[in-house]
Amino acid sequence: MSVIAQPSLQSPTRRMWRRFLQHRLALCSLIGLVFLCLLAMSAPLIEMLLGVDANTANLFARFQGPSLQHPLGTDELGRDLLLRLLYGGQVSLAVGIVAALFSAVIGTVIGLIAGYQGGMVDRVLMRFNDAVIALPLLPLLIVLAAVDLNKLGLPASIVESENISLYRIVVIIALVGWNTVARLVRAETLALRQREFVRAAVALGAPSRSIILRHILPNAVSPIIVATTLSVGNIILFESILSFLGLGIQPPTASWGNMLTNAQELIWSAPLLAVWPGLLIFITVIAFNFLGDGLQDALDPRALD
Amino acid sequence: MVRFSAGRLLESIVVLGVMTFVVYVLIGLMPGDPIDLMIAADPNLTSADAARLKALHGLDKPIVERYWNWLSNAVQGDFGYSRTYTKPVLDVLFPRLGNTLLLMSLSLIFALALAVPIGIYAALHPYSKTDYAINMFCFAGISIPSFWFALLCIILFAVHFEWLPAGGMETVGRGDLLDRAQYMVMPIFVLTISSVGSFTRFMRASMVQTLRQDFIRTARAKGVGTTRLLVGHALRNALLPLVTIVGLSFGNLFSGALITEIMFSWLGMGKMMYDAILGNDFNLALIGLLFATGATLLGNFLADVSQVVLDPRVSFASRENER
Repeated sequence: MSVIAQPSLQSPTRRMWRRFLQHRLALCSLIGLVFLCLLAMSAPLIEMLLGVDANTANLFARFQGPSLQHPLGTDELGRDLLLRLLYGGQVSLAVGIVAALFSAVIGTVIGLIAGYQGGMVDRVLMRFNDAVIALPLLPLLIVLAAVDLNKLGLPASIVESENISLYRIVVIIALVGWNTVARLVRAETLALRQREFVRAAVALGAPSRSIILRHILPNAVSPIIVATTLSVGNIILFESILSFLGLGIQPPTASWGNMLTNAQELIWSAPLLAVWPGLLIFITVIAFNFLGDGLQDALDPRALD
Repeated sequence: MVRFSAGRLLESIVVLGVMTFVVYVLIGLMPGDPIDLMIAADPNLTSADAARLKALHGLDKPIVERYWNWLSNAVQGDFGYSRTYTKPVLDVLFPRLGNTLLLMSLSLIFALALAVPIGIYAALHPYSKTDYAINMFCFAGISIPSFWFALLCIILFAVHFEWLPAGGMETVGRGDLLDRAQYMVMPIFVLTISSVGSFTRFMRASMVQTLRQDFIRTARAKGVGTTRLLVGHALRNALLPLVTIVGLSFGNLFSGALITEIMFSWLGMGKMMYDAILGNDFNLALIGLLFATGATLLGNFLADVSQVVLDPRVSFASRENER
């Protein structure tokens, strides 16, 4: 073992890439997720090729086994299982990613303000953060999902829109999901504020806004990316639980969670219907977790080579 | 020490107080109200009756005033009646709470009994094949949707093999210890699997970090035996973060218990809350949520305090500054 460290000849970006590529599980997960997303997005195309409609019930063709027309068979209403899985995947993935991005934005703003302002603002925001972390998430999400939007005084055009269950779930998850990012960004901001380049910018009279946006935020990006990636998996889990309980995505719109609601009643007659949606949730969530883990290793400059 | 704990305790109480209001408002925002439900159930009720009943129960008043009434009754121990059980809510809550605590404590014990040795083993053989496999299993446990896992267990063990009952608490007419234990196997198994993954990962990380420290090398250099080194020197330090994690996992355990109870028709608090929310049993839903919040806050508080009590290296001052 040489005592003197070899000077690194690689740029940080290349080193990051190399570390990420070394994390084989993360790489496989990324490839798998991209494939899954593409597959879900190509659902209309597959629908056309197979010549079946995803939402038309056909009671004469219930519980069919795999066939050319229905590669995974049909469900309790004679709908094609593969297509429903793919359309459900669109919803679950979209909710997971969009809600994760929303919570990341909220968390970043709160973290930046708390870390940069310090003092009373910081203390109040962090107390609030602690309080949200200390709440039992699932019971709270169930209550939030059960809230009657008419009583909130929202305009009827929104309440009665077709995708309301989708918007609602994104909003409630974003409302309670921002705290990890906020805590990380705050810690990073506190550390960055003491660095020479930030102090130099302050001394040169740069306005706070540009210090935050140009000097602090770009340097705090790694923890945001890692936390957001890891949160996608969790959000998909929560979405699927809520949809499974009948409080999330409402049928006939398919989501992996609400497909399992019906399957639960049919475990005696058609156990396979319960296997597929859950398996896809499991694979997606574990892939996002591996990806987050790999990104953490790759993006953390303190990580050992 | 006392100042720190008192401060944290006060903070938790304030949060709980604020949450009573938030939860009260949220519950009030759920569809329907109790009198509307009575009208739907009894065709003889006229709208004049309904208005009188609403006035009697104070439902015509603004939400803040209703909250204040509820709170002043609540501090005197009167949390109202359950609509579906027609009993005081606490009488409904306590037996359910006992069932949930039984489920939670047993699965917590099993999870720790698995996580600690497995985590230590992985830490002692880092980057080995076994470590890799353990890591995979941890990720699988963290990522598996527990309701689906419960469903798979039911399909496999109750429907296919018919070894275990699919749900409930006991067979009517039997109910001896063995019978009840059979009903407990699957819920506890599912709940254990959902928490063992993260515990194991924390145990491994904490053990790896401890083993790198100077005092371990010193102890080894002066000839301490392997067992004594691991148990006496390393483990005692490595367990500290785990204590904190267990305290912080109360909220997750509650969430896990909720879904497990629903899947296995286990008559616990989680299922009670869920049924209350769906059945418009407002008082019961309210007390259930507040109890869950209180328990989670207590877990967080204990985690914070135990950290400073158990680890003298964490000084109160630095803990205060960091926060």
